[in-house]
Amino acid sequence: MIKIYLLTLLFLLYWCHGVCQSIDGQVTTKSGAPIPETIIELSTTLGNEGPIIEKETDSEGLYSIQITASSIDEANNQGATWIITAKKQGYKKTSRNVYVTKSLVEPSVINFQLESDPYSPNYPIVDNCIKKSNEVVSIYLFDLKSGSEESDVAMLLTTLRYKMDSEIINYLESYDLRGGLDLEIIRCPGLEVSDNNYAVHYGSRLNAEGIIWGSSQKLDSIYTIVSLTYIKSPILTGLTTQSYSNNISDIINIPNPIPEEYIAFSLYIIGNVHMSKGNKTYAKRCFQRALLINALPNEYAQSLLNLTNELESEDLSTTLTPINN
Amino acid sequence: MQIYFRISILVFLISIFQIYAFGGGIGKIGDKTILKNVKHKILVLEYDSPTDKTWGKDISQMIAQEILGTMFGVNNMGVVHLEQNEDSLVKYTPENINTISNQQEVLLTIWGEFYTEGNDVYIYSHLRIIPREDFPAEAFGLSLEMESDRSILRAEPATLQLNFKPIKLSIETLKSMHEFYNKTIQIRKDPNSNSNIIKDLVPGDTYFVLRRENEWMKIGTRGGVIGWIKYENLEEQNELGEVGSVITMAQAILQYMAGNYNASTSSLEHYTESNIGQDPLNRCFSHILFGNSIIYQNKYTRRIPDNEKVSEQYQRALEIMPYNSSAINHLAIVTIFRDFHKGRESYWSFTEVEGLLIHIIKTENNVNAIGNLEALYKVAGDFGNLYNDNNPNDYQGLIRERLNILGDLKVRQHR
Repeated sequence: MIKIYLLTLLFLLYWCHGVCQSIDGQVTTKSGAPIPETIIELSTTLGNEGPIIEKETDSEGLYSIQITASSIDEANNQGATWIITAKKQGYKKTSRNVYVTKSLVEPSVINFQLESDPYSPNYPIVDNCIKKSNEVVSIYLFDLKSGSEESDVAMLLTTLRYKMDSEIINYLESYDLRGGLDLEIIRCPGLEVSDNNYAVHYGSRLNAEGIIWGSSQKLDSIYTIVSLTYIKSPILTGLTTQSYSNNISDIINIPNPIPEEYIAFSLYIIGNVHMSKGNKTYAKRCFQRALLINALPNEYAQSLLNLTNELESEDLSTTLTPINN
Repeated sequence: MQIYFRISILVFLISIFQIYAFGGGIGKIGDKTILKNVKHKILVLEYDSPTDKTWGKDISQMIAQEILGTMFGVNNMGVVHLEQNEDSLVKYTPENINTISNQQEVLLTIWGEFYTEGNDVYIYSHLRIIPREDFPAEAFGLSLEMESDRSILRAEPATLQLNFKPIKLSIETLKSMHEFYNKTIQIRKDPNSNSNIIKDLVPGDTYFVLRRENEWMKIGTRGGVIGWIKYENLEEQNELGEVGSVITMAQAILQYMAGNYNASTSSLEHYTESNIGQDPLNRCFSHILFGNSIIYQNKYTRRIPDNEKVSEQYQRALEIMPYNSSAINHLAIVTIFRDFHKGRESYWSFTEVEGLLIHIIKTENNVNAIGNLEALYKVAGDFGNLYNDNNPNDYQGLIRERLNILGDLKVRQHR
């Protein structure tokens, strides 16, 4: 009898060294319809190596995840928190924390109700655009929504990106406003964005400082509207340029430098980055230059004045006044 | 590495000036230093374009050869023309421009972009001064010592990078330039068309200019051949006149750097009169450098003459760019010196300059302005009432108060 008991114990110990715990559940919509082919990821806050386990729901939206003892030990010894996530294109990603030890999983049944997400179908395109380094301030240029030939628009946007990239950096450099910062205009090809909510959402996902988006429609002539949005807090959306032309290539305006609004927008962005890095002298100079250009709409101009006042409030030089004043 | 020199051509202005040795060299970005022993070098980089790479080399070659062919007043001068490596294109970021320029040991670098639209090509140019130990950035500003207390008045350069307004050239012009720059020229024994041909100078051969005589140029090749080649003007290409702004400014800066202030004054006078359509900072810089050239031309190192022409240039710079700190500090220096040497008539009063200096201290934390305002108050204190009418009673007290604030600001700047 004792022999049988010991053998059973040994078998259980051996088995538990392999698969120790499991989590089961179902993924449905808010209305209860099952969502098949949803990716279920079990990961930890240790993070760097991606999910520990990845499964897909079946046709009934059901899933079951088995966790091995060795992975539990490894994560728990480093003080990790366990997270289970459901991901499906067209729905918002949803995550839950879960408590996992070798003797307990709580909760062991986790059902997900996913909310639909109109933005997510384009995430692969958006994510493909990310070209971000900490040293570079990024402004992303989305495709303008257009009824024109795709290749025409693509070539125009390539030229527009290049022209902006070159002229803005040379402007900043000539006025000594960079202070070591690099600014890059990055194209995000294949994604037409003409709606403010989408623009802001994708801009945030890209962790951009600014985004450029808009549309070009053929009416009697071609009506093009380009919007420039500051994507960091507080988000500023009111800056747009508009043009009517018989030729879509006029949106680049090759014979002339880029509009002053674009320069002022970049100064606003660069000034804020300087400020966040504690480089107040450069921030002040960028904001002053943007104010002098006087090409920004009210919400930007007001924000610039507030930022300038904030910088000056702690400045001893404010006590300096001309003798005859 | 391929190094070679090409023909220097075009209309030239040098006959009235002393003869100088010039050299031109072509290579690829990343090559070792070209024209190593040439002291005053300009670098011209292949122009870039987002879509059409056809004309980049021709545009940069045109600029390089225009500079080489028209430069005057600079001894030991050369132009290096670098092309992109087709398998590893270098983006023209400020850092990359500096790296390439330092590698080539040049004083100036010119680069740019171009865009094709129909039969026209629009060319955007940039010029960057590359400071080095024997010619620091401050040399483009002003630094003068007050005789009273030996304090230094300072004004910074308006910029070290100039951007130029776009130039339009037709594709036909670019094509004819391409043909012209790539043809063979005969080296003759004497400076006349009947003289014996010694050798052909083909594109890619290296040479130095030894002498110029009317339309003939005496050259020496790297292979040891010495002879004469004939200048040729491009066919009537009026469009090329627009390129002149970049060339003239490059000449003026190099002449200034080489210490030939007569030449730089002459070039800048021409530039400021004929380039009123340029970018404001570009024009502001040219007026300030013009003013400085006049000062140095007259060899006033410690005392500025009461020269209306100098004040006028600084004033024009300020009119183009109100609140530009470089223009304000330059104007402050001439005003302080003028009043230090017993007030003469000038454009600017102490009150105006005081207000402008305070403005750039408040808006930019401008270090030079703090020192200059300090000097202005000291002069105002030493020489009595320089504020004309409506001066407050406790004049000296108010000056002391402001000097204390400026002293505190300086301490903070140094922390």
